[in-house]
Amino acid sequence: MLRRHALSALLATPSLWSQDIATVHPETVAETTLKFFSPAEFTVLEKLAGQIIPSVGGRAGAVEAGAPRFLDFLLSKSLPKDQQAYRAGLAKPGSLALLEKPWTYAEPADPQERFLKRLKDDLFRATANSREWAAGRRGAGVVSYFKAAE
Amino acid sequence: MAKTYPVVIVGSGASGGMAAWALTKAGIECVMLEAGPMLDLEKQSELRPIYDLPFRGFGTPGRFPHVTQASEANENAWLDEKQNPYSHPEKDPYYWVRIRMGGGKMNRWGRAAWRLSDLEFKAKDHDGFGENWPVSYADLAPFYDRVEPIFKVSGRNEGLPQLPDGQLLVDGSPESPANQRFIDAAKKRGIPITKPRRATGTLASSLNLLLPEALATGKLTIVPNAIAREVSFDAKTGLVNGVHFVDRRSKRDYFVGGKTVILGAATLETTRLLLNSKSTRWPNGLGNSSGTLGHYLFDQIYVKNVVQALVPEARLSRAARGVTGGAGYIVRFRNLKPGQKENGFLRGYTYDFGSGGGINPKYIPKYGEPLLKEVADLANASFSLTTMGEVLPRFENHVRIHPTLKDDWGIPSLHIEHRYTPNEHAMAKDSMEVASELCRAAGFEVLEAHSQMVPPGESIHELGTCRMGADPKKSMLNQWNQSHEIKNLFVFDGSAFVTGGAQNPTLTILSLALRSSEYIVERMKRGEL
Ligand SMILES: Cc1cc2nc3c(=O)[nH]c(=O)nc-3n(C[C@H](O)[C@H](O)[C@H](O)COP(=O)(O)OP(=O)(O)OC[C@H]3O[C@@H](n4cnc5c(N)ncnc54)[C@H](O)[C@@H]3O)c2cc1C
Repeated sequence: MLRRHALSALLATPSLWSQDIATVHPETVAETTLKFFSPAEFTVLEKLAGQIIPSVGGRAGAVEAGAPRFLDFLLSKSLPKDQQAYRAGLAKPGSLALLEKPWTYAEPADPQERFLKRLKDDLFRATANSREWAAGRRGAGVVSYFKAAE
Repeated sequence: MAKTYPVVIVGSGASGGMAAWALTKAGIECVMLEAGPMLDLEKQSELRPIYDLPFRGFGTPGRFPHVTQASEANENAWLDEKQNPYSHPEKDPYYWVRIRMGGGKMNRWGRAAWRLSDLEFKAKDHDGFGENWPVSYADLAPFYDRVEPIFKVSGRNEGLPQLPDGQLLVDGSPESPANQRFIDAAKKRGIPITKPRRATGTLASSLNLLLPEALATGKLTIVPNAIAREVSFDAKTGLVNGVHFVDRRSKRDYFVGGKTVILGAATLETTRLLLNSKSTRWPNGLGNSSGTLGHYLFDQIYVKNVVQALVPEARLSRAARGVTGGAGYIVRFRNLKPGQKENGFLRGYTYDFGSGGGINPKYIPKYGEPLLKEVADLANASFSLTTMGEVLPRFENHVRIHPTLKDDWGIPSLHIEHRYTPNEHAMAKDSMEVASELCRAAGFEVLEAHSQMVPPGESIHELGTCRMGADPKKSMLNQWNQSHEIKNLFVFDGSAFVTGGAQNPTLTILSLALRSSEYIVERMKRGEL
């Protein structure tokens, strides 16, 4: 019985060489440098982020969840059409009242409305999928990850 | 060492898996070529926080332009589009969704398991369009009866001619009040509703339900990572005699002999393989005197969230627990009478619907604190439907071999052309109007209704291109999934379909594969194969 116990403890260890060493994700201690947005664009983005998904009742909003910095990273790796949509959108963002127009399946014809609705989606998702948002909610944000096969 | 097997099976999904299951149980030795790896799905998966994925769940940008079902968590489960390219006209996107691993697409299927009826098998008799199947419902019913228990399909029998009853685990779950209101509204208009019919169990795949039993007979040999590139034809005998394949990892070329060859690589891969199997005798693809190989491609229209509604009394979810919840299925109700063409379209459609759960914030026309409050208030208030409709098989919708494009293994790729026509558009529009009317009648608030179909292919129910038929001039296969022209060549996957109705196809693929496997056993016993 004791031996079986020791064996299963051994098997549970990922590698014979590693101990249970605590580590952190870089996001928790470091900040990324901007790769896509100019400082001016980033200022506009952060302001919109705070207005569209604010922090409410102690819950992280988009800014607290690092959504703008994450979007900078995402867009630096994105397709040109997505990059252009953000550049053009942040240059002339339009009134947030456009977000009060009903959602339609077809993309809005007005480019400002189109951009703001997209920005709202992206900010919401980047926030809801953040460690800050998940904090304090058990099991939040856990997915079944399918590893690559050889 | 090249061996010759009684049977070579290409593919280990629904069709290949069922072939192996039925044939090996009858004592027939089979070798199975599977293009992907054989995986232990449990070991292949692990729980990870979404925020630790490189792109926070947004997915690697540009990795899957045609697979809307791919998420960052499951990206590795889909076939890589760069290694396995295909083309379509720029204006007519085709979303070809492929999975290459033991078990095929069944490892991720949604498990909806519906029977077809003579409304599909004898569709031409009903409304004059297209062709009938060489199989009737009565021919297939005994096989449906045997397949449903293997996959432990749950549901509720309704005694409807357009949706034959099955051998089901009875779903007697009560309806939530919101769903009941919706069902009552439909009933008043003569629209039938039933419970979903779904395969149950932790995994409902060929991988766990068919292949292990086939292996246990000692008669099945599986070669993983074996990408079939050509079916070999012997001009002297007029028969096929084996399959050339490339090892996925080493790219080494192999040949395995077979007295009978069964293709189950999934609809378009099988057709690609046949089109690539050219010889002096078959310049246009193996067994293709009819010129129909690659043609009559169809699938099903999907209008995802055709209506997104909210259930008013489920606002403030905590106060209203139990108001919503559960799912259902609207059975085809259009054009049930012979020759009918209601609202300008032939055939019919169905819907999946469900209530409960939150509403995507995009539907909520707010921002800031009011948005977050509304999202929280509506956390359990959603009611939505998705339309699934029949697509008419047409000669023009087709695949052909691309003149230059090849995959990473040097195998010529497909060019795919599939356009929806006014029939499908009219059906989608009708489905939007009916769904909106039913939701309003049930007292729901409609947030958005639309009739925009997803691009062809996205339903992952691609069918046709190597169809069955009574007339060899108009089809590739007879009623036994057997080539009209090469008697030891069989095609078991969805490419054999003549029509598809609005029902998800896999239960029918499995049942046909079982029926035709037993035909092969019988012919082998008589020495005819
Ligand atoms: C997300 C998702 C949801 C779905 N939901 C449903 C549903 O609810 N109900 C339903 O009925 N259907 C559903 N389907 C469709 C269902 O999975 C398919 O209809 C079914 O798996 C088809 O079986 P098949 O044998 O034709 O093809 P597959 O299951 O795709 O199997 C084909 C196999 O052949 C292999 N192969 C391909 N090319 C080659 C080659 N050249 N050489 C050797 N091997 C090859 C592949 O690797 C694969 O393993 C869904 C599919 C997906 C992906």
